[in-house]
Amino acid sequence: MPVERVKTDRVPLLEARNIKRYFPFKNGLFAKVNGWIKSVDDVSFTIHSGETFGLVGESGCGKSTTAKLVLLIYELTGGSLYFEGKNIAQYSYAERQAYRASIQPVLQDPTGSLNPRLRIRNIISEPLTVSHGLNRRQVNERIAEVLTAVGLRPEHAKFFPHEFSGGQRQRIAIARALSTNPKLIILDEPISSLDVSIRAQVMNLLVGLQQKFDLSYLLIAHDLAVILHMSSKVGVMYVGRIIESAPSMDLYEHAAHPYTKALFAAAFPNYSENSEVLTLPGEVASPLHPPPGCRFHPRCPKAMAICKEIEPALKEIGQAHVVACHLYEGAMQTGTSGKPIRQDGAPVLGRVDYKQEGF
Amino acid sequence: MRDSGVKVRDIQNKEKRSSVEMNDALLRVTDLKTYFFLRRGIVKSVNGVSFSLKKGEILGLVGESACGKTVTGLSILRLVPDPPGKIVGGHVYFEGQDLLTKSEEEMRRLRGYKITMIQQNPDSSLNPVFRIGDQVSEAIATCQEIDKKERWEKAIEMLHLVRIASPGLRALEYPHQMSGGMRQRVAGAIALSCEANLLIADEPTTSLDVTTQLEYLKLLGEIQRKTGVAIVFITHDFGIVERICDRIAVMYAGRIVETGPTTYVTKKPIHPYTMALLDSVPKPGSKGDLLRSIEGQPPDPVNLPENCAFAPRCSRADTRCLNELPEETVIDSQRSVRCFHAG
Repeated sequence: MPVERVKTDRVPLLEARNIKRYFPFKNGLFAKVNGWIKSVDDVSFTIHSGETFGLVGESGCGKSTTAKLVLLIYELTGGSLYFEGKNIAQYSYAERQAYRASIQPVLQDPTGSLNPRLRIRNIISEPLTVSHGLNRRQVNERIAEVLTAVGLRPEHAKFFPHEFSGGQRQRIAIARALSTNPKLIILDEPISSLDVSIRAQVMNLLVGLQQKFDLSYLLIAHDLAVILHMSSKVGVMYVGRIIESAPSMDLYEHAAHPYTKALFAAAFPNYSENSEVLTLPGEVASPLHPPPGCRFHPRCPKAMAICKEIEPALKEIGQAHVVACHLYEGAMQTGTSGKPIRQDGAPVLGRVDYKQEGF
Repeated sequence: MRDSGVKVRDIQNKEKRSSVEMNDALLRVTDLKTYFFLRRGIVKSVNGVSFSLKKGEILGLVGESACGKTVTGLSILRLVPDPPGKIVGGHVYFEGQDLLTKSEEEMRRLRGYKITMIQQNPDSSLNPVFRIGDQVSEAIATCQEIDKKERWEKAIEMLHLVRIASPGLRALEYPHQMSGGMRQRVAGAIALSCEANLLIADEPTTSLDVTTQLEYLKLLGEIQRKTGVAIVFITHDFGIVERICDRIAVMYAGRIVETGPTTYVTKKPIHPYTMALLDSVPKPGSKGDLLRSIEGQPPDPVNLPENCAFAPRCSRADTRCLNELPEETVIDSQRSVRCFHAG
């Protein structure tokens, strides 16, 4: 389902159009394929240069798979990725290598992502030796440069990862990502493994580096507070799909999807005071057997009969604000929606416009 | 859905309870010291912790990793791995008796009966090769001498209490057939199966998804009101203690640095560490602003000097902080703080 994109003059740095990734589910004799796990199912987003796009969702919703698709770790099952206006599928080998150098990951756990047997110098220079034809002196200069940029000292290059604290290790992972001079950095839960008192330091560092080097971020996290703080635009994922996407402040002020509201209620204890308390029954649906209709309906406090049958498409309900929910069906076109009838027959208040709902 | 069970208690209750005298304390920990004797030195995980808990109260023990909050919980149950750990000082009074002087046999009878625990990871507290129902009824057998059939029925009742749908059928399943949230609720059913008076919940929500966390907290609050169990809630997340706890104790490097009623500690903290910690959390609308971060790192727990452990990272620290250990100062009847420059 194509989403109408925001019209901008600029070519986006990265554009994902309806990307998909299915994994075969095998069991039984001869590992017969018994089904497909639709980890990422029809996801679209754009990242402009200098911008941060935040992907938020719970475990298993496909946000890390999305990151791996962008990093070309996984092949796309469907859809396409455009980098600076060009389809990645049409890249030559050399262009693909150049693309890989201009997107770099920072992963959740720096203890796992830094090789314990390598010195910091070798860890940071590894991406450089693959992608840049630099001589030894230039490499050393680059190492000193990126270490200074992340708030460490050039002398640290001769140490091993275990000699650093968790926060410092994450700084090293960031330095490694910076070494190839990337345009886009994929931040996959960059602070969730860090101590509470260290998190703010790393967030400040990331925001500072973005301004300094004009970086773009694809930020993946489960904590909405972090996402809101760092992103200009946010996509909320649930079981393989983006169910709501909006500029971050717009999302906070006018969250539309019941799932987004529940995430806000979980992230901010005071959020529920200005609207209804939303705790969700049950658990995140399995991507192997997603529920028919809207994937969220078994947990949704506002589920209607239609939600069990028809999957809602993304609809624009505000400036760059899209939501996939039957409550907002036709909100833009007509200004009114028919009164949906709940399963128990009780009429639900018609939702005219999300802004009038009294958030 | 409108039931705000998450904000568990009402203020009336709180006032009633705070007027109860100190003698009524269910649990009173005084100057507890638990050290770990390692080759590279002594780790003073718990270094003079004192607090008390009244019947039916929920106390949040908040701190970063390695601040000693879990070891405090384990010390109450006397489950500190020995060697290398050892409780070297202090008292743990539970219902007026000092647990640290009890024999191992007496402790064994208390654990899982009067005092129970919920661990962070439900998989570590459930046996993968036994059915859920058997595991719950095994826990019931520790406190009630009833026959197998009755125990099974009681187990199903417990599963119903923690809101497992169709508990009769679910009792026949194995842990791997349940989701993480359900497993954690089963662990809760086991912990509460003997109508314990004290529950030590060690990060019970950390392994759960964010929306499942909220549901679990709500359930825990409801069960607490139903059974009147007192809870020591160990967590690193201020967002969670705010929702469920009556009082908060903030720990740093083996010591409690600030205690007080939840609203005071989260809204008007007086210890610089608590203030800085609360300040460093991003708030909506703070986008792009520099967060007020705490510089430096938590101290190396080995061979800690006898001064204020937070001093090297504190904006208010002076020479006195670097040389002396501040005593615990009582601010009013409910709050206390360990700082020379509190307020």
